[in-house]
Amino acid sequence: MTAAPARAPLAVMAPLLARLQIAGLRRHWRPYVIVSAVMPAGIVLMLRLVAPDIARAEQVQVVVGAMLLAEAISTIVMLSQQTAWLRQSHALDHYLVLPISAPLYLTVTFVCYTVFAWPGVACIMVEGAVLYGLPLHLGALMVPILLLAGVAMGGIGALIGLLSPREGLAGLFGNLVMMGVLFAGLVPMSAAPAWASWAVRLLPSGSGMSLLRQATLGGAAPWSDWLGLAVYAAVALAAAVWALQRPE
Amino acid sequence: MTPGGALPDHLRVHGLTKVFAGGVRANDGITFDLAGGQTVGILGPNGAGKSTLLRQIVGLARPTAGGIELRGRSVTPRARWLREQVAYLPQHPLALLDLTVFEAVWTTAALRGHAPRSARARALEVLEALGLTDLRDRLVANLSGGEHRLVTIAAAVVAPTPLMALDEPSNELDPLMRRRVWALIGGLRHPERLILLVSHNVLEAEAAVDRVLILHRGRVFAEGTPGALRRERGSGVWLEIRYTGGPELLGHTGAAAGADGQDVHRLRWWLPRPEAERRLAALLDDGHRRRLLDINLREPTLEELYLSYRDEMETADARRAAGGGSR
Repeated sequence: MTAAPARAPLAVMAPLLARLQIAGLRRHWRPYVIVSAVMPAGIVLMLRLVAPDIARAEQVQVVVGAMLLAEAISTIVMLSQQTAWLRQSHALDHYLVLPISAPLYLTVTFVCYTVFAWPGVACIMVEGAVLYGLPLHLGALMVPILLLAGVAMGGIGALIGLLSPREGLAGLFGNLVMMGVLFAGLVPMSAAPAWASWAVRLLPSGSGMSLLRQATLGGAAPWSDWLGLAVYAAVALAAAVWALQRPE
Repeated sequence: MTPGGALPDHLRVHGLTKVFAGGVRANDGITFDLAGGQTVGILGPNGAGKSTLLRQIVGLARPTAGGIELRGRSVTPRARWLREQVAYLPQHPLALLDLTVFEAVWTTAALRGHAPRSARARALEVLEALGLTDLRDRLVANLSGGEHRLVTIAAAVVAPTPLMALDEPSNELDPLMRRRVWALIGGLRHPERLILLVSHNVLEAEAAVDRVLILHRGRVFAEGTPGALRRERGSGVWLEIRYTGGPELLGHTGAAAGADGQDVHRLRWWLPRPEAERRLAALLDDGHRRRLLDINLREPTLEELYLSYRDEMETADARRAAGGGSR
């Protein structure tokens, strides 16, 4: 029995790691794909029924906020619980002793969990167009925005899962952050106090909201939002890498 | 390098200490040097620090004090070069529950650098060796406990590395599965490889190990080859007989062994070898020979050696407790 070559090239490693994550859909496609869509879509419908006469800007915010909420449910709530289980059960050791790149492993994981929510995101766009008559564009810019927002939120989700002392606490913290994304996305900031708009900037969905609003309406987003979201995603990824590699 | 290509200091551990949050001391100044090309059994009672030692060696746990060198390089937890050098079989469940058995093993081989064709061949080879070929398309999540354990073992050994740390490989396995696992571990031997084996199944591990480390309370209690440990414990041997007829033989009374309604008795002596040979000669005297069913003159097994160390450990603990001293 001879020794194996010790390291796979990144181009080989990335699809293999993606395959590991996508395999999760075999047993858990309902929570990953449906649950992440149902709650945001339900909220959009409820708001349409209870407040049919809100302004156009607020209608856009509700729909865009619900799209990001779908991603938040997958990347924050579900990923934090899955990561906490992996950590608490020591099943994560399997990955930790393999010669794979930790940033690549986490990035691939975040992207997969983001994409799991995209059927829901598409449904909410259509729902927004039907209920509010919004001219929502399926622009190519939406892809990098949703991916960057997914990586930023995935970083938060993984951080919660990796640092929580118990799986149940990870679920609690994940839901609290998801609630923040919900409020920031669906409550018009014009009606909120100044501190609330600053608090929204602390959430991974802050810059994503602004960018997505512009993208879906076909407008140009300010570069500061792009920079903000990219920096947020990079910092969240770096923090998650640190938490993953932190030895006992 | 030794003539066989093995490094004499494949693994060096010096003053290794691990204190967990809350003050629990898992390892306490463990020191040993191990050459490559051998399989080393790490034995000890529950809580002796065996698994923590393995986790520190493979870089999953950071030592509180002391250091580890693998093939001349200082071990830093989670270092990339270290992960290329070590494979680890944990006691815990496998992360790859959503994959099929083949995918779990094949993917692990590929992530360890095997080209797809080679990874596939290695995966099939290991699955065959462990009797998992028929289960190759089943989801890992749907397997029984023993089958799941076999897949974890397959994933750990599919791409052998210079250091292989196997924690309780035969846990949860039936006798046939255990036999396959020990055969697979035997096949991992290589002059440039060191296999560390934590096992409570000392009797089965005996055939696989070249050297033994016995841990107690986070320290090395005894170390050496099974032969050296036997010599250290004295030159005694076991003389065991089964015989029929009355319970009296050579002035001793045998314990009834009861088989097929026969009046079968068993006697067992722990004796210095010359005395055992003298008594054996007496037993083979014509007067007794017709009554003998079995005669067994043997050295103590590794398990018996280990149990004799356990007695010593318990005595040391009792003395420490009586003295009111801490560790």
